[in-house]
Amino acid sequence: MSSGAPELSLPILPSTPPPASRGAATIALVGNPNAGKTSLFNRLTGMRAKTANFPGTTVEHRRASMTLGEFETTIVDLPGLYSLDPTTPDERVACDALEGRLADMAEPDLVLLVVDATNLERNLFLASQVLELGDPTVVALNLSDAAEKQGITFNLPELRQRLGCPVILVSARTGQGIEELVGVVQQTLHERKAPEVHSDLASCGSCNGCQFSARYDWASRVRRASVHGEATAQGRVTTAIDRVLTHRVGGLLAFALVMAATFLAIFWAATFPMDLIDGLFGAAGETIGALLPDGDLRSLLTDGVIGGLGGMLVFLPQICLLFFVLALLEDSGYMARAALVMDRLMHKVGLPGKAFVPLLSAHACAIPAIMSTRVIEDRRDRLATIMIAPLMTCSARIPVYAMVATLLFPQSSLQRALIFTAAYALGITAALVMAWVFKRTLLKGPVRPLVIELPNYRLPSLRNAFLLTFDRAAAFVKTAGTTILVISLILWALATYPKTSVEEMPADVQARLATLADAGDQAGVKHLTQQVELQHSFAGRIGQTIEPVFEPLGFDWKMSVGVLSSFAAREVIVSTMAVLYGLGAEGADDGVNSLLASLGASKHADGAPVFTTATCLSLLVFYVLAMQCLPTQAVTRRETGSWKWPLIQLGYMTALAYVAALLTYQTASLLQL
Amino acid sequence: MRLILNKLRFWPARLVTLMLATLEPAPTPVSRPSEAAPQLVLLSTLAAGSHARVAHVSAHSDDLRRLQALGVCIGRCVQIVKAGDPLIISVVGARVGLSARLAAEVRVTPITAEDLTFVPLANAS
Repeated sequence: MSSGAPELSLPILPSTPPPASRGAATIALVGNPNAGKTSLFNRLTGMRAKTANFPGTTVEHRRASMTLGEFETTIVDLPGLYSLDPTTPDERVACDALEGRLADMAEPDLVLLVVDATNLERNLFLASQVLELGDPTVVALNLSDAAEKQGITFNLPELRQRLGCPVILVSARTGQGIEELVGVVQQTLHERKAPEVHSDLASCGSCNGCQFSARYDWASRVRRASVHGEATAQGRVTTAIDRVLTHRVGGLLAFALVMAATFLAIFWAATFPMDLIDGLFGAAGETIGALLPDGDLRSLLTDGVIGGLGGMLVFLPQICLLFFVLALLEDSGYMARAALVMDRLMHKVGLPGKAFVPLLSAHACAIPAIMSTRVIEDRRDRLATIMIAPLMTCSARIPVYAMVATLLFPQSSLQRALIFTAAYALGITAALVMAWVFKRTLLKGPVRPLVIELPNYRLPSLRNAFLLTFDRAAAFVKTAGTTILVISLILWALATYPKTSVEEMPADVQARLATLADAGDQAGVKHLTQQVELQHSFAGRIGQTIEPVFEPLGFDWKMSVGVLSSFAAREVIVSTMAVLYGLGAEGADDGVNSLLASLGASKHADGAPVFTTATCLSLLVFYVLAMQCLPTQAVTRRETGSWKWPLIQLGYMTALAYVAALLTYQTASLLQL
Repeated sequence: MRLILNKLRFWPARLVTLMLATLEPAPTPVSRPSEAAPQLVLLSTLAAGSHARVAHVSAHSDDLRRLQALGVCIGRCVQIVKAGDPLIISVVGARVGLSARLAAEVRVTPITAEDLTFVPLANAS
């Protein structure tokens, strides 16, 4: 009990009256996880809420400003807590915020304690600690509708007397009691009346060494004195469902089914908005292109700004859908079961069961995956999960896989499928091995053993899921959007400057251009010009300079430029290669076939084909393992709070990709594949 | 003891439980506890469906503090919902999933359903 059994501090009324900024007040919303705290917050504040980090932390919370009578209040939704004896970063921040220890955040003027009416005794444990803080407190006895259904009735006067503060029966779901709650909150803010700690509870704090037991004994006494009806909230339905979902074998099967269905739904449903966004950005590019004269400004806007933003936003539907489905699953109570059934398997690589869903989500996109690692309590476990998540095959890799697989096996769709499967398997294996490595080196430490409450199943709230999805999507666009725009512009500049005029082009190119122009092949002229311009740009020169670095991997300078240009977004390599191999940027879009024909026909200077099996395999392995995604890096920075982790991520993944591609190419060449 | 646990942390947790069982005075799985005099057994060794009262929570790690905050502290009654690793217990009106490694740090006195002073879970009919 290092942080000390809370000493009995008789609540003292604030010695000074409310400050000059009369009417401003902070309300902290506190409660156990699963007590319906978020629902109540949403019910109280609606769409006014904003998501923010607590100062100096990566712990997120939602807050909203609203007027309650004479008060301009800020309502802060603190992370869910089981006790004020924190064991996780989230809990620690919530405690600090509650006790006014957080810089830039005043101690709350009122604590709104959310208590699950269907399980009063358990929730009263936290209540006993919160009441002892001595802040003006109002208890919202939430889930009153569920309690009513279970035949639970309350002796509210008794409960008020025992807790020493106002107690209001509410249902965030139906809205029942909310008005009364708001009224009581206003009145309590006005009076600034601290709870009168009942002598029965006061004895808990002073009893050293057994504070857990003493508090639970108190909770049990309060419950028996003030609640009639079934004592516990153990739903029979939940028990029945759990018999299957937590079964040693059945649980895993069910989990596989749930996840497969989720991904099918996401990939299927996301295609429509993704096509729409793609089309919109394409149309926007064309419109602007038609309005502006041919020149740098047009190129900057269409290729740099619109291309860069479009490349990021096209994945937004997938990210949103993933957040949405994960929020529904979480709200339904299923996620806790998934963590439970996966715990043992995940332990083998040194990760907790809760890491599994984020890692699986990374197969759609690493960004929501990294954001959803917040459920992992232990910092090291969470960091390890964040570090390996981008190794999973996300949907941006699919165009690259498709290109390579078709180059390798133009005829056989079975073999193409095998190549895809192998690429996915490589990503997963690399991730698990790296998790194991991280947990033994940089993030050394035992896996935190599983302790997780398995809440009753309930119908998830669409409203809460929408709000959460909206918040997270906004955070993504804000974080990734600014970074990727800057980098897109830099990459655009590198690929555009210095300009090459036709006169500066080598004589043979000029001759070829003249021939093409004579033949009336405007597209051919354009493609060849683009190709030569890119070759002479900074990006092209850098590519040719660093060609020796990638040569052992079997990459020529064009592929080296491709690797560089796809640094911010891996799928860009497809269009870069289309330009470099003389097809024009549109070549990548109008059917993979023309691109592939062009790639397949390309030869080295000595006449040997560029895309041998060894080169293709090496390119594939490189793209399975390389970081090549700037938005992910930006989100890693945001979630870890420093640039150190994204840099380590970039470093190890690039090294891994390079070495693995090198081994692949050299082995395949030896075997003369 | 913690040292051993730490060394073994990457082994399948069942092995850890086995190791513990050999190091501790061997507790026998209790199915009909009322026959014997009350004795302390590890929470991880109880069979599904059995009830017990928490007698001792050994070390004070963050995880054990968390477990205690969830209700697995001295004097509470728990029921095993599902044995194994991880196991599921019912305590103070909620289900809690926990790894066997952690459950092996909790000693309990097996009791029969009739001994319960307050009634958790299924008996609440």
